[in-house]
Amino acid sequence: MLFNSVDFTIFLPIVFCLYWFILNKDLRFQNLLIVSASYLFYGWWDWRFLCLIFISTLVDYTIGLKLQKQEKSLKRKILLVCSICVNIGLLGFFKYYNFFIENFTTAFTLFGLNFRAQTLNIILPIGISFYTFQTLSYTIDIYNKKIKPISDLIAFSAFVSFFPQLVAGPIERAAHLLPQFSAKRKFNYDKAVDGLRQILWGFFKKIVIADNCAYYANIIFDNSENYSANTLIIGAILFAFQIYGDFSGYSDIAIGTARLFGINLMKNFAFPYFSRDIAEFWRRWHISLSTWFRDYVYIPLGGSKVSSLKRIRNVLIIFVVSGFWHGANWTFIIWGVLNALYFLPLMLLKTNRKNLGIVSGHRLIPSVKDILNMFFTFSITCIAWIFFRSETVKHAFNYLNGIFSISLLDISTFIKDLKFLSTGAEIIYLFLLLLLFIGFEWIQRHKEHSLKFDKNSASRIFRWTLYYFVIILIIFFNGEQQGFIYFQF
Amino acid sequence: MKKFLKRSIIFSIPLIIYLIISILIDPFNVLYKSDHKVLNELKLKTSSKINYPLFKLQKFENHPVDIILLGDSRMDKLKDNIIDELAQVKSANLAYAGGTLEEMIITFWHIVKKHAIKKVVLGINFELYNTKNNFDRVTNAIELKESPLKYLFSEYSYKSIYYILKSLFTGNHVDIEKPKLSREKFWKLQLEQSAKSHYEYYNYPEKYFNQLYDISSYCKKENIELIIIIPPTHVDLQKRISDFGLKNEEKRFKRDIYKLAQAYDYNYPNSITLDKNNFLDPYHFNDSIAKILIEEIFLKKIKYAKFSP
Repeated sequence: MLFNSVDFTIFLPIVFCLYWFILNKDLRFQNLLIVSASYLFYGWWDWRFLCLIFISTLVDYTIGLKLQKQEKSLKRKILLVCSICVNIGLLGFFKYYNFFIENFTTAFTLFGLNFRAQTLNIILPIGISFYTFQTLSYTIDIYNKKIKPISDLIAFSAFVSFFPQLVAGPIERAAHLLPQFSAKRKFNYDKAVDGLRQILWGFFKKIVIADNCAYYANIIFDNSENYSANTLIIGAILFAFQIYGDFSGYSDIAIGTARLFGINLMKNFAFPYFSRDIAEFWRRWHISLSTWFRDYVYIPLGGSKVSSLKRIRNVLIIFVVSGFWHGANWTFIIWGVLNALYFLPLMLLKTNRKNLGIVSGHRLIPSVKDILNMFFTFSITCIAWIFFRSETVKHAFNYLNGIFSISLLDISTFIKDLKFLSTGAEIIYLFLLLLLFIGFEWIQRHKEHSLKFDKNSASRIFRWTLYYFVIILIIFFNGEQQGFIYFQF
Repeated sequence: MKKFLKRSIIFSIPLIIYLIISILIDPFNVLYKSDHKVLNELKLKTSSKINYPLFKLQKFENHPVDIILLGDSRMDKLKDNIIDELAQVKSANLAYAGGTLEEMIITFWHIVKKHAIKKVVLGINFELYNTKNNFDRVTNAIELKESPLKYLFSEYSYKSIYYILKSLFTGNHVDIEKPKLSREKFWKLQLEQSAKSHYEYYNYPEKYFNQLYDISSYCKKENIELIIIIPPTHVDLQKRISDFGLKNEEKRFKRDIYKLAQAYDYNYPNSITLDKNNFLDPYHFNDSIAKILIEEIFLKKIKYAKFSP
């Protein structure tokens, strides 16, 4: 079920009313409703894959309880390995089987050996990369004795399958989300209203920003050999905003929806394109995934408390694994490696924790230094996005070759390309819209999300006018619908 | 909770009112078939011009037929009611003003998935046969038809409802497409600006030729009669092709068309194209010429069509 569908528009109010009006007196029934609604939400796409969520839930619930009772170190390790094998096994089979088969075949062929294995027609279950990591964090935290297991299967099932974040995150931690399902929820007016605002902003980012940028980004990337350097740069910038609008928009809708049910999900994006260096970018982009890798891969490998060589190794590992998590393609791996290469100099020079505060403090106009830093960080991020977006490594390199070519100085060809791309001034309107969007996000960068208002900071008339303005923009700039990019992960 | 529900309902009132009005009017007949004569006439005059693909695709879905016409505003002049009357057939004109080859191809495949057609008439001019001409409204129209919520809250529904309500309340019909220039000025504008936008950045459309070839193969396989016509334009516009040095490209275009299907070429100097009185502007022939084309294509009363490049 998509968030921007009639089905969800009918589904959400029904679940909301049942949750707060009928079942609010009994926590177990409330959680059971969450589980039922979540399974219905997921099964609406394909009911066959409900069994995978069920398996993951049951396995980790059982292992969690057994880990608590088991004192012997070897047996605890075995239990943990079982959990990892089941979750990573599911992920590995559905997502990476064909990738490994194809690459093994290529590798064997290169050495003159005959390797025969059939690729399979495997459907990638939506959200598998998210919920497997979420349940894995539960068993790992129990193993490390950071949390105790929960005996309430319904509450645990609700934690695993909670529909707002089931298919595209944020990837929650048991320590943060599970207690919320074990505690009685009380309806909070301010939280619910802010949730609605966040949902509205999420839809704006997805429908107005992401889908409209996608239209031109797709044309440019799919026909990159026909376009000049400046147009290719425009394509990369538009993709950068497409993926930001799409993914952070989805996260906003997820977080906002959860708040309607009195559940707090973790922040997943913190205005990443205002980052002054790549380390700051990775503290602000897909926060739930980057912290997951930090806590469950980087730190167990020694983190920063090891020699320089090992630190470099650790950084490369997490970025490569992070890239690979996104998809079974060498382009994602190279994207990860590129980000690692950006990050390493900062880490080695010990400047990776230099920019921890909000850029430019509370000033409206950033300093020249901040502008240059943000521009540089955004530029190198866009270069990495080219690999992320490209279908093949060759395509990505050809795209880059196209950018760093003599046509960079050819403005007339660039103007010709723009006329080619849009029949009227649509692309100019899009850029004006992007400027408005960036400006608004800049002003609100201190807040949890851009439509967050304190009661005293803006009158109700102003707020409601703004909300209606956003709704009208959503109606009028309703672009050609694109799927949520992160569904494919 | 009461405060939340109360404020949510108050906030939603304008949206709910709009939703009720838009459901009642249903400007593109997506939600249900309407028998309201006045409303249907207003929809024909307004909605059909605000979003051609959405209106026509939905009309076809409500009343599917075996013969379809695809093209741009020139093919749009071959009205299905006139074809049906003259040729005693049932046809649907799915040509869109401002239509492109991209849209024609997407429409064809969308239609054949839904209904077994027997005859397709494509109207393709040289201006359409260009990689640049890739604008696509059809994909969005199909999405709107399949998503009632998106449809009701689209700018097309909003605009149509506004014009329909305005017509109902004021009694004046708003002509959406009427140019505000005199005939001479508009003629000059078309020859200068429109022709420039069509011919300045010409790129041979290998991709479209392949896609048209796929359509041609499919029609042969499914026993669908495929006819391609090159509608007439005034010689003033034909001359502009030479001005932009695209004469060879035009010849190649015509050779391609003849490879694909039975082709009727009207776009050369003849008594139709030499007479300004036969045209509203250099691109668009008038209704009397439309009738001649219908008689030639459907009644085989051939007088002007050329059958070889």
